[in-house]
Amino acid sequence: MTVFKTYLKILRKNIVMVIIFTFLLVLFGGLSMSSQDKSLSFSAIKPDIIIINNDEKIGITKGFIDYLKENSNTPSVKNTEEALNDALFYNDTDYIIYIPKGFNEDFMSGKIDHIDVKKADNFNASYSDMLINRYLNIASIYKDKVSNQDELVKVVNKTLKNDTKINITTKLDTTSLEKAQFFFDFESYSMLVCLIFIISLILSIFNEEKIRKRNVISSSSYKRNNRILLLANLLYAFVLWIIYFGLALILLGDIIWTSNGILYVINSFVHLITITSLAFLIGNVVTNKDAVNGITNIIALGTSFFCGVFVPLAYLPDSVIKIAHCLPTYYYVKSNSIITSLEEINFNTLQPVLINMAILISFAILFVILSNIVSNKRRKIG
Amino acid sequence: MFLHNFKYTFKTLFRNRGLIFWTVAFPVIMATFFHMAFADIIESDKLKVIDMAIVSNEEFENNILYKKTFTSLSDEKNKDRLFNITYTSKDKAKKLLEDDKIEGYLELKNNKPYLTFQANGINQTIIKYVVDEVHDTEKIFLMNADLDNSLGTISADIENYLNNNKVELKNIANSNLNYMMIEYYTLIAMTCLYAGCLGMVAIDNSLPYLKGNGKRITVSPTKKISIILSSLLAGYIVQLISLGLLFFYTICILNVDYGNHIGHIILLSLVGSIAGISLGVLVGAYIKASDNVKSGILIAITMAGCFLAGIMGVGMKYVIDKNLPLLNKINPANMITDGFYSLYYYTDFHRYWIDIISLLIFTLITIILSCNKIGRAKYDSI
Amino acid sequence: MEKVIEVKDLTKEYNKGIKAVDNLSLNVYKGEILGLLGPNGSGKSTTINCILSLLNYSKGSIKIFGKEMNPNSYDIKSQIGVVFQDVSVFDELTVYENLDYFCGLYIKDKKLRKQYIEDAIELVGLTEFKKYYPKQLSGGLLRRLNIACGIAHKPKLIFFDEPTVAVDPQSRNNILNGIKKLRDNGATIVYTTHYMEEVETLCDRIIILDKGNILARGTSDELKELAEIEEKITVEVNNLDVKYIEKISELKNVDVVTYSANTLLITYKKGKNNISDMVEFLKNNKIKYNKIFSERPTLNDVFLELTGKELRD
Repeated sequence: MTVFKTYLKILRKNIVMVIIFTFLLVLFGGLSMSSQDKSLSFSAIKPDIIIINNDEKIGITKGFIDYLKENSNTPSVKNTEEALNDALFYNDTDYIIYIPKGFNEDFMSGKIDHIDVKKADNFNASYSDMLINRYLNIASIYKDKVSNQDELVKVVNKTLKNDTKINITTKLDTTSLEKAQFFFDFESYSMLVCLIFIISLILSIFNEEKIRKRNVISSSSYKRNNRILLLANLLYAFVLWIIYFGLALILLGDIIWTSNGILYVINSFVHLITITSLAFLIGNVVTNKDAVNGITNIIALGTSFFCGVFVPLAYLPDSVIKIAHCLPTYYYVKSNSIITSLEEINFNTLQPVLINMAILISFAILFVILSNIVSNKRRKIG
Repeated sequence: MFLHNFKYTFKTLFRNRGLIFWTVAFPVIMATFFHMAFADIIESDKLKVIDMAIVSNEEFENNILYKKTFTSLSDEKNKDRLFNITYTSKDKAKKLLEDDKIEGYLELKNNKPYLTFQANGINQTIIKYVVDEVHDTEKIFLMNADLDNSLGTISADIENYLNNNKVELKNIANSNLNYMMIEYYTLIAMTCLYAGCLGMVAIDNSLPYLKGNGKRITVSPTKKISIILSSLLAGYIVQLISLGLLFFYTICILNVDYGNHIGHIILLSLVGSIAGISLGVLVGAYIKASDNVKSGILIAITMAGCFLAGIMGVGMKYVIDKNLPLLNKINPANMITDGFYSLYYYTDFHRYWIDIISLLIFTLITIILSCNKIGRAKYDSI
Repeated sequence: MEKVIEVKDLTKEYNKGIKAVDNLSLNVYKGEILGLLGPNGSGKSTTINCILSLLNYSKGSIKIFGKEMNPNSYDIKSQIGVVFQDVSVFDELTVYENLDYFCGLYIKDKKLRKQYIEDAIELVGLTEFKKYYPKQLSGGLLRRLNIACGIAHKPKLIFFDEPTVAVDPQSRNNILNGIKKLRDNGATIVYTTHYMEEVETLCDRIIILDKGNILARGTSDELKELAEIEEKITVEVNNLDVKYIEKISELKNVDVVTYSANTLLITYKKGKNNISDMVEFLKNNKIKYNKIFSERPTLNDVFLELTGKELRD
């Protein structure tokens, strides 16, 4: 029981770390993407365009602005050059268009040969280019035939009215599932820190020279203590998992009880087992308890950066993805993204997820074997 | 005395492995993670070639307008190529969509375009945009009987129409738009503020009410001011070495772009480090607690500041700048980050000098507050 | 005799009006070892910190070497060495570097400093450990380093604030012998402790403190005179009948008789031949005993009588 009491004492001393990272999970996992509406019918993506109009809002200028407003979102940014530049840099807007003075007349007389714009370096900006060109081109084609500006706007608008039929096949509530996926992806980071930090710290404290020597002398108590320690660590990991499960229920609600949701939960449990065994290995390798904090941070941050927790897998360079294949969390994150797009659940569709889980379990077994080798070696030397 | 204390403080700081890890190694490791994870993120924001399918039924084969347009837009020689198109049967197109091989497919039926997508997205929006545009063009030709509707000219007109714009959209934005650079700038800010740990250790050793070593020094016949200044100078030199390493690493190995104003960059780093050291002195002078608690507090302050300045997501800095400007005006991590940002993005130095002056004011205030505590000759309690 | 330290009416109050030192006056004379004896919290460290000008005090005056002591008295400070209660050394510096650092705060000349450091290392017996870092030293060795750091610059006045707390017997002897050697070389020493054995063997003069007040002062023998009891006789007897206890208390000179845990304790206020009287009584009553011995009163008895509590809590 003394082992167990010491365990609780160390845990209580370092509980702040667990609380901070759980709080981060709530902050990032809970608040992200919270305000997107679900849509099962087609809606075009609207780029963010800021319109700086130096012309009177009449005629073709008005028609152009109305068209832009209909097809884009206008972020609210202070109308100072600095605020606009900042907004562009931080992608608060994709595009800024400066409509010059006297635009409506100059356009009709063909004097306009360019318009000043500022654009970000992304696809929304390219799309904005297309939207603007489209209007100006159609208007240019008609302007020689229709000289009244209001008439021109009407004709252009008529041309722009579309009846392309669009069919969306998915029956999944992708937005909610993406939110759940983000939560579970981020959970792996919090879990890595909380598990590796506490478990390695405790093991390294117990492994410290003096304590180790004493334990090695009586081999029965050595084995018994190790078993209690193992049990206590597993209990801690399990409690942590239950807490995170509770958080998922609170933050994500009913999604958890869908078949996709349950798959996320099962996946996170398998990941928990692997990370717990990894924490055991690290705890057995690292003997200096002052080093635990640094090592935990590097492993957790490195894993999360490389395995698609902080940056989606699709955005990572191939070389990083290759490295990520050596890290267990990669298979967890990969499974999460497969689960998000899983429409029909049967053995065939589940196969990749099951394979990933098998890989995670193999990692766990490998870590357990390695940490046994390390601790046995150390015992003989002691 | 000054040199004697300087020499030994320098030795003590350099041999403190924990301190060196957090101030020297950790930023370098973080920079490496950033570099690996963010290398492709800007690229992936740009428009990519979209995979789609077209049901090659009789109607499509006979509609030269559609056929020509999509052939042109999927031509590999075209530098504005948008699509990679598979012409196939409807069933196969469906299968491709289910397997996530394509973003959507187009089918012409009764003179109307039908699009099928799995979900909403930017790629789907682009496909719809192009189909709408072709549809518009069809309408324009139908509405304008004057226009020559022989098939050959139509296709030439379409290319004209799609590619040669009558009004040029002239991009006047600064080309330095890589917002990922902010991540590195916050990293520099973090390193500058971590200098606080060095300042804190230096002050810890010189004050009688903090540590036994300080008592020893106080009872010796040395001037306190000379001890404190030489200790802080030693801390500052260690800080500059670690910052120099980080700059060398990020510039030469990771190709981070800090802009072209070397003198301004050096000045900002020097001032930022002084601000960091003085923050550490303030925490060291006022908070009487164990080493771990104190450095914990300092690291927490630093991380909170860096969080607001965008280290965990560049957007955070913009959100705060836009909505709570005061908070970032008093946040030293943001002053440093913002200084680098303004050197990188803005062409005049107005904003840069505001940041430098804010940092100096911040430093001055912390130093005055610290002197109030440190300056006392005797204490009410130790 | 020349006064090295002269403290008059020193009063130190902490925030809540608690008096840590109350109207305390004391003198330390040249060449002596003065022991400040008292339990934890009796005001020993506070007194020293006030004398060293580390702490503000409410009232009183402090003179060292005949001059007023204040934080800028660098000429006085250069003659003082302090060994603090907590081990205060740099973990990142070796034994030699630590000594060089602290000694360097006093001695600027490098050659002289080197000589002084060697002397200090030899005095505390750390010659083999010069290149060790503090973390590699055992508790006792660490204490010795702590002492060496305080005395390496050969000060004329040295304060030892409980230098032997939690030290193994071998290191303790080493430390106590070292202190005697320092005195023999001409230093004046103020030594605080709550171990009375140390004070009895080491100190020329003793001041007993409790709750910020001086309870008594004098040499070890003088202090023991203060005790009302003269002699203590201890007898180990198994199963003593209660009736004998009463009989013993009626014997000549006997003051108090107690019997517990098979040990009979008899105290005397005066008289001679007390032990032979006792032996005779035991013989006459055919009481079998294991051991019998007589003791003079200890400082602990003095302290017990003065305050009603034991020195060690």
